[in-house]
Amino acid sequence: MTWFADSPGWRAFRRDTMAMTGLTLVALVVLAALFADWIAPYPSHAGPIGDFGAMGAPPGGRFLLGTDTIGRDLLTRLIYAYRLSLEMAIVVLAIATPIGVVVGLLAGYLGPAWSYGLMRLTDVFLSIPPLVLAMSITGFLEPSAIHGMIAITAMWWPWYARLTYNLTRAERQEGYVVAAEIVGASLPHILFREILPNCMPSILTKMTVDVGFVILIASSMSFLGLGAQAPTPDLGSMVADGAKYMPDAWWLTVFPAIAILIVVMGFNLLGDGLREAADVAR
Amino acid sequence: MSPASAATVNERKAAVLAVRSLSVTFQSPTGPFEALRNVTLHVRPGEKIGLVGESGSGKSTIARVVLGLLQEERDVAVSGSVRLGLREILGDQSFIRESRGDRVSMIFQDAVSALNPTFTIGDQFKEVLRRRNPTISTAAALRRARVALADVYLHEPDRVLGSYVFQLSGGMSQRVMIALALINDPDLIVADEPGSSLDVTVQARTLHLMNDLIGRRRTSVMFISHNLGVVREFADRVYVIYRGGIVEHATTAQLFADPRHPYTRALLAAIPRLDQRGIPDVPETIPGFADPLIEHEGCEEPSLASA
Amino acid sequence: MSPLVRTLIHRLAASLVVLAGVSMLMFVVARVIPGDPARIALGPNATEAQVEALRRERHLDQPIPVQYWEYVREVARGNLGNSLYSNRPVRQDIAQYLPATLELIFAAAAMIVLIGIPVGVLSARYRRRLGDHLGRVGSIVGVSTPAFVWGVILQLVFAYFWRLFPIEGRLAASLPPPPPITGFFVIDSVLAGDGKTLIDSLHHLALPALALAMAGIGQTARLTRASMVETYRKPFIEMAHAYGFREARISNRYAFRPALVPVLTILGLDIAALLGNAFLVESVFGWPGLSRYGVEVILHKDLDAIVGTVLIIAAAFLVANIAVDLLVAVVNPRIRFAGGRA
Repeated sequence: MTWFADSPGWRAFRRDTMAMTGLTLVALVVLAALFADWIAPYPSHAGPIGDFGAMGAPPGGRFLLGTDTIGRDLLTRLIYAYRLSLEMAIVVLAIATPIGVVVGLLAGYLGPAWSYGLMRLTDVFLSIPPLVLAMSITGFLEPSAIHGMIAITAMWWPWYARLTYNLTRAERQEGYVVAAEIVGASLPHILFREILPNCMPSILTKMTVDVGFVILIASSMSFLGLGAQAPTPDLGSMVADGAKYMPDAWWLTVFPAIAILIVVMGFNLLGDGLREAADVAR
Repeated sequence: MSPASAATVNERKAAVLAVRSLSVTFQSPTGPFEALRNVTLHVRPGEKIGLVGESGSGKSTIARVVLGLLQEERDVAVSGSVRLGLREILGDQSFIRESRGDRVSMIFQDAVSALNPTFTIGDQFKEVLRRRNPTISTAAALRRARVALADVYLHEPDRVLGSYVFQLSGGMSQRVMIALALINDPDLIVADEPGSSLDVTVQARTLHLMNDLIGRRRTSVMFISHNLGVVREFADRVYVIYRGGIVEHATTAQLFADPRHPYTRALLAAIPRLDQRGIPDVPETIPGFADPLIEHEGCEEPSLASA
Repeated sequence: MSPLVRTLIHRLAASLVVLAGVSMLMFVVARVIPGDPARIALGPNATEAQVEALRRERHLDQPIPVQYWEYVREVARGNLGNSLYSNRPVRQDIAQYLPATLELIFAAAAMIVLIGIPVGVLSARYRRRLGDHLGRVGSIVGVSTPAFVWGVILQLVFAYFWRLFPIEGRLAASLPPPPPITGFFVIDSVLAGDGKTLIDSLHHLALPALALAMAGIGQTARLTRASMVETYRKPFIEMAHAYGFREARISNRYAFRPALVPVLTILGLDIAALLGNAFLVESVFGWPGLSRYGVEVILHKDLDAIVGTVLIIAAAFLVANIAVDLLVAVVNPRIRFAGGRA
């Protein structure tokens, strides 16, 4: 990794306080989610049953962030909620990105008829406000974390289609693409071996930022009761449940709210930092 | 008009611009960079001087110091003296701030990008006229602008005034720029590679037009160019600048008849390549390029001793 | 025909195509889901005969293209079907709930423009100073926080703790709603000359609108700053400096107008976020708008109502985008004269 440590991009990234803050927040969240079973103070509280002797305990003491109305440790539930959020974001992006990228590559590389048809299809998806589209798709199914993921995937791929389309349009005139065409390379070879690698930096940067935004949308849906169902710990539904006990049990609302802010902001700052570092490297 | 006669007429008057021992250092993340080293030059009333050098030599830095723009930036150290008429402008921005657009104006290299794309030409004339007369009415401003546009041979002044810059050709925009630079009758115009973004014939026509107007008004001009042909035709006196320092100073006739500094000779020997808009193809570096300043006879600033 | 009008007509036509696409998409999704829509609609206790009757009435026994054609014919006549949740025509439900949502969205959009843009302009003008850093951190926090979180936090602080604003609703229970003319309480109370209702409705509107606007304010401030910084590097700004235009005039006029173009273009996306986030904010503040209705019909699997609501929201979004395009054309003469998009 020495080449990386010395690269101008990494040096710029390290000097960027905001980017390093983002990296730190993301690292904290990811590590907490990965090692939830070891880190969480009361792993059993991730389920439906808590400590009946300590219902609605305020922050401090045995329960750092307090407990909910049935005595479950808030910190534990937040750590497990991070795990669910990250899983959802990874699954959504792992499905939405390839779909969008393939549509974008085809629309950008093939003739005008293809690009018109595919991009109008993309426009249809983009003309429905993202949250509304995801919610209505969930509406036709049963509310659950899985269906939430399906719905968010359905609204997410068009953004990658549009991004890849624009990148592909810029790349297809480049010499290396023309050269590949002249030697008679196959369509998949040109799309995936020649064009795609040059689009990857932008796509990866967008994916980084999007991890945060998928979590934001997913939590918005579960806040409305259209995502993960009880007793699964979930950031959005924890805020919604906590809001019922405002203002007395304020911690039930405030800490999950801050938890969402931390993860979304972390990925946001990290993505911005990566984008600027990539510009410096170029 | 010979440079010698201009000097006699104006001998007692102070120089319009007198730059002495000007040094500029930029602080960059990679360390300090000396953009100008001990630059001394002057412009007398009604005189046209040329400042010749390659890009990156520091020509434009001088222009930006003279207009007081560079001093307003961070991470720049400026030392020496710059006088506009009798007023020192280094260290105190108030005078140059008042003077910009009024006593001193500037003609930009690329008028198309130097004019604001979201305001009409008429609006931009009004704004510049307000620099001299803040209470000028719109009608009066447009009247003045119409006359100025007629001076630069733009025949449909009303259409031009109602247009946006992207509706004009490059040559028309450059004429608008010249009219703007002259409209407040400044003492000094800094012309930074005027018209070099235009094609050669349009550029030549624009430069002649500018030269006529300036000659009639006896405005002083500091002409910044990398094009020796342009300088030879339009400047009375020439400073050759190389890597932030003046290396040769002579009247135009002297310089072209008897170039003495190795760098000047290399510049003159290099064949201007038409396909690069007259940018000469000078070798990277030769030891003699770093030789000290050579000043030809009779070029010293007349008031230097008394100032 | 002026280029502006041509652009407008072109955009309207394109929007109709997209709207047709949206209806088709929603229709297909609603029909291909597992389960019999008629059975879902009537619930498990309905008899087979009742289900069969509904199926025939809604053409559910026909192939999907035929069903879609029938649906489009009904929509063209202004009939969006009946809501099984409210037992009323969907059109009537939407007409009742939409104005409250629009009032909220207009208020939020006004806040985005009136707060986000000036913050960005000042941030760019005083860049790399303390205020700029605070503005940038604030923008990131604004963008990274979901609208419902803003909702509960603002509600907790300003309504529960400090009691400066009402906790929920559109109007105090003691006040009768103003006579409905536009459906916007703020405007209707002005029209009725009722100052007390006006103040109370503004008082109720403030927190939800701010919660809805926060992300957009952050986004707009960030973009305005970036766009202004970019514009400051342009030769025409150097020219403005070289001609001694005053700093405030450059920042508020000469750099501002060109910098506004990309900001306005992105406002269209902000509007999409507003339409979506209204669901969250209305739920937090008990705002009786279309979004709360939307959540209810989604939870009740009320298919016609879902499709109708989505169609209306998509149409509102398209109209807003056309309005944004016209605004861009007003600010950017290049588009005004060339027609088409820059």
